[in-house]
Amino acid sequence: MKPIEVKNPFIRTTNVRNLDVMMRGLALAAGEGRFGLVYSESGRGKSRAVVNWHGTHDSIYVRTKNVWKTNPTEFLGELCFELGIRPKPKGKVKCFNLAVDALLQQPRTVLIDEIERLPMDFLEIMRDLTEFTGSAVVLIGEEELVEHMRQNRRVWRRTFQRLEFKVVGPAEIKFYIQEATKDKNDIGLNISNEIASVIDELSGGNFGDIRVITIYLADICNAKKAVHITRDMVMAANRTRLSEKEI
Amino acid sequence: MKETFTGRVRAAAEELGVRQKWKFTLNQLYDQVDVRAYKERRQVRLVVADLVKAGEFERMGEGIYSMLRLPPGKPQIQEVMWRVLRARRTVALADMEELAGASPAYATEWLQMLVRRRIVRHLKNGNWQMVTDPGPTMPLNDEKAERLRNLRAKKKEALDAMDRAFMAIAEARMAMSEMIDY
Repeated sequence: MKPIEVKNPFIRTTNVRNLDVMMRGLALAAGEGRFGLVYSESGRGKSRAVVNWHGTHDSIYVRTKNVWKTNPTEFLGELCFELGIRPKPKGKVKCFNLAVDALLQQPRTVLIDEIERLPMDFLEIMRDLTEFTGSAVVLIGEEELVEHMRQNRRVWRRTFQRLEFKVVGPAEIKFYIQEATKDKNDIGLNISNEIASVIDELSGGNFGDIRVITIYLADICNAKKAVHITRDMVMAANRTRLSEKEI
Repeated sequence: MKETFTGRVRAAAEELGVRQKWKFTLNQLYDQVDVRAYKERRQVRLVVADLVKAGEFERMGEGIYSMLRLPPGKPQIQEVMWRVLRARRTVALADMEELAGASPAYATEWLQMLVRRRIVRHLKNGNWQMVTDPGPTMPLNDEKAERLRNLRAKKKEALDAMDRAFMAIAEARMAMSEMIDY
């Protein structure tokens, strides 16, 4: 038996599929100037899914920085940089106008990550941006972002699509383990629904923890030359994960 | 990067297309590409025929073509890696494998090219960190393209040399057989 190797596949979970549907919905409303909203507590793979989408689509991705809090000029300058405007313009009005021109010439979806860290004024800037250009603006953040946006009624009214990233379930865990451990013949570890539920319980649906458990499970299988996963093996893998965490 | 002839024709057609609602004639295309000689015009016609076959152009009538504005295709893996790298700033090979669908060997080669250009540095923990951001335009792997070009040229040279050698052997054989006949 060849040793099992754990790969790092990008799994199209329900969240990822919902994100795709949301983006397609926003594309249908192109030219109207709409907001999209992606939110959830941290660690559920929002940013990863959004970066993956950004990688395969012509879009603008801006991750906010805490130092932009006091002045929108830096933020707008960064947006211009991402839009390929050289040299970086000075002054917020010039930055804004050039960003609008660039988006009018080549409409693209603008993705703004961790927007909840910035003050409410920034949402107004986004609203102007989406209104003047018609390009969709997708805001990504944690749960407080929803409240942030709801407080601004004009922004909330323009929010066309809202997507909450939920924890992954046993079915997705099962699929992930199978995909991650696939060999050259496309055969991966096949776990029962019961084992998938145990892993789900132990990891709390957190993808990072599921991956670590998968790696330790593969190690145990390689050591025992086994292909059937038992509950004991999962418990042992989880114990190793927890002991590593303590170190 | 060296511009291909097809690239020139495509750019010219696009320029004409923007002005003329994506329709143009061959004569307009010759002028736009700036070709005069019959040989060059023939080359343009061949490129247009290829692009019609590829589904980029459509023949509307005799000498009249329209450019089909296709939706942007799937980006190349290196382009996806570039976007992922710029978004995350520090990446592991596993990230490139997961988010860009690149094989670890290809991702390593590409990241090493960026290291040589001082855009990325290799950290001790195995991760790769972006140290200078040249912007959204992806740096092209010219070195590799050059290497492949040289390799192709050498291969062609070697094949030509082999052809010459076979010809010489054939001629020698003929001469030998003629000598035997006498």
